[in-house]
Amino acid sequence: MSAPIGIIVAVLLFGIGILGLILRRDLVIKLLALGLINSSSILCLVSLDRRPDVSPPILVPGVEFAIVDPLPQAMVLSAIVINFAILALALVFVMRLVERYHTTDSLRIEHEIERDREEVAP
Amino acid sequence: MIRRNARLGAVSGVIVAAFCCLVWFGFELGTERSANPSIWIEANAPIGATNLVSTIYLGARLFDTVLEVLVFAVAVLGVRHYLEEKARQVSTVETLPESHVIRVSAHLLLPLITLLGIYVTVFGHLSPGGGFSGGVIVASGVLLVAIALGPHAIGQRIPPERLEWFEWIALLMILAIVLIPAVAGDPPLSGILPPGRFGRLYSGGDLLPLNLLIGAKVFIGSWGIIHHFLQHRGEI
Repeated sequence: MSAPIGIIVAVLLFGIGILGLILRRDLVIKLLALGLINSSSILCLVSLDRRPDVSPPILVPGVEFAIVDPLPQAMVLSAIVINFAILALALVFVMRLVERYHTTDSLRIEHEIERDREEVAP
Repeated sequence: MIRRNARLGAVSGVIVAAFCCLVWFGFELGTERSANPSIWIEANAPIGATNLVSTIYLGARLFDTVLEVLVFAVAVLGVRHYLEEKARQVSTVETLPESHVIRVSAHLLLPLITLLGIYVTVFGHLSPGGGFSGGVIVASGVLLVAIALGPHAIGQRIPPERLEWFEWIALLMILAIVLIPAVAGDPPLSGILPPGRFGRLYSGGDLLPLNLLIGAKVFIGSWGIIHHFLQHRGEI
């Protein structure tokens, strides 16, 4: 049994996304990687039930044919909308951080925050 | 630093391996069960829509969809709240004049894109599409005009602040459609409108009004997010 090409691509994209999310220090690139992870899971869910001999889940009155399971596609719809909302909100937080610390480097922001804390409570 | 990177690399490798196992299990189970869509065709029979996906997300999983709309509303509220404090500052980015070609083509394309978005929303229970995709299509058309004419011109023509109240009315109407049957004594989510004839535009019971309301909500929410980002920066 060979896995569909969609699932292989999804696993590859997931790996790239995780590497970007963990290894890169730039906050904006971290957000892009998060979007990539989300897209890869969407691709994976949609292509799990993808077979060449079935049609999309749109019925035609009076005609009977095999269709794919519509449940993953309905779940993916929620995932897309929530992903959009979360990325927009996270981008706003990154903008606030950049305005305050003038860098998108997560390590430098952490150091600055620690320095601020030490200044407040010496 | 090298040790830290190696440790992080190992962590990401474990996560990717776990994801691979998960996908493999899903794939194995999915092909064994060989996905039985006839349950959904049976569940769709009293609703009468042809798009099974919309039957699921506005029928069996309507509570999930309502919560999803609520999450979207909260995210829009958060973006608005955190960017409005900053919006009063004057942006230092100068507006660049766009070329004549882009301005004219944006004017020509906006009605077509809007029409496509409304079509996708209205026919969401019959063909691929629905309120979410339709709303985002219209919002992207407005974004195109914002690129061509600048955010201030389109912001005056379609002011998100004035559309805000309609967003909350749409949300309340979605909640009303979900909860009114409970007041009438039926189980919640049982639907208000009659199902209509299978495959016609006036079918699917509550699916058409729900799709329209969700489309309006998503359009206003996305346009609000885009407008706030544009206003904050002053230029795309």
